[in-house]
Amino acid sequence: MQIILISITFINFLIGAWLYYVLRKSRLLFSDRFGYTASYFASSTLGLVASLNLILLFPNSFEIVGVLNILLGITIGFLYGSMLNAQSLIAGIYNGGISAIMGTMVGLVVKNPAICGLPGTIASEQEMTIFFALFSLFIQGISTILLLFSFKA
Amino acid sequence: MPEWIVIFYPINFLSAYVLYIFLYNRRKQIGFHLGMNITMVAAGGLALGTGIIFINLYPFYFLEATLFSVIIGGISGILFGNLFDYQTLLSGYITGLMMGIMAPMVGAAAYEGVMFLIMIEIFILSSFCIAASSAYKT
Repeated sequence: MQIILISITFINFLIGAWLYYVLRKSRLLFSDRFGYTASYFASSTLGLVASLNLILLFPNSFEIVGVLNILLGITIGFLYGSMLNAQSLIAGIYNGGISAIMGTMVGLVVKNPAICGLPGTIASEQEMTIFFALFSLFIQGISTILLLFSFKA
Repeated sequence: MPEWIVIFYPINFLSAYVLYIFLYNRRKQIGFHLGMNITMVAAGGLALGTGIIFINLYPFYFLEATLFSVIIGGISGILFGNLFDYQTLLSGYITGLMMGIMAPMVGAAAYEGVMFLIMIEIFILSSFCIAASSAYKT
């Protein structure tokens, strides 16, 4: 199970790096509003997916991974937001941090549903982990396709 | 949890459908700022209602609740955003996805509380009404 999680994390970061390269190459074409939307969209998606994968990969050391997730989300938001101006920078940093916190919360609830007061789940813990890893890959793929189509429309 | 809260599903979807038909006739007169806010209200409210009601009906199925509410939120964000602009579509999709991930956890934390559910329904329906009236005034 570890090898699937590691490979999915690697694929997600690779898609994010490729999206960063594509956006960076054509950043002179951005209007003010599209810079805000693209920064918000890309940083919140990649922050959510990366923090969810990391908390599923190391579920035992919650505090250290939580702190590193927030720092990683802020870094991702800074990288995506520093393309155009100060507005997109603020939007990227704030939404990257918020989505990293939300991804950490989702990962903890997936590992232990009794946190929220749920009585338990029908699916076992391994099935939940595999499902949410594949779900993060799905979210990242759909979001990247939607953001790349915006250059055509 | 009583079984009659299933009645909130047709109320939500019917009011969203009425809002969509109402906005479809006036989509040329709405600017992009108002369109973006209307899309975020519609997608987030629909995903929130769906997730909270599903996790209260079937508390053992956390996985299916997350999947269902994320799909409903993303599709409604894409449909409402497609009326106006492509960047509105992106904003609606990401709002529906975030709300859909968060909604089953909110519903599980407020387990066995009927008054909270009714208050959330009133909030969602009144925000739909405010969105419709703001489109009517312009």
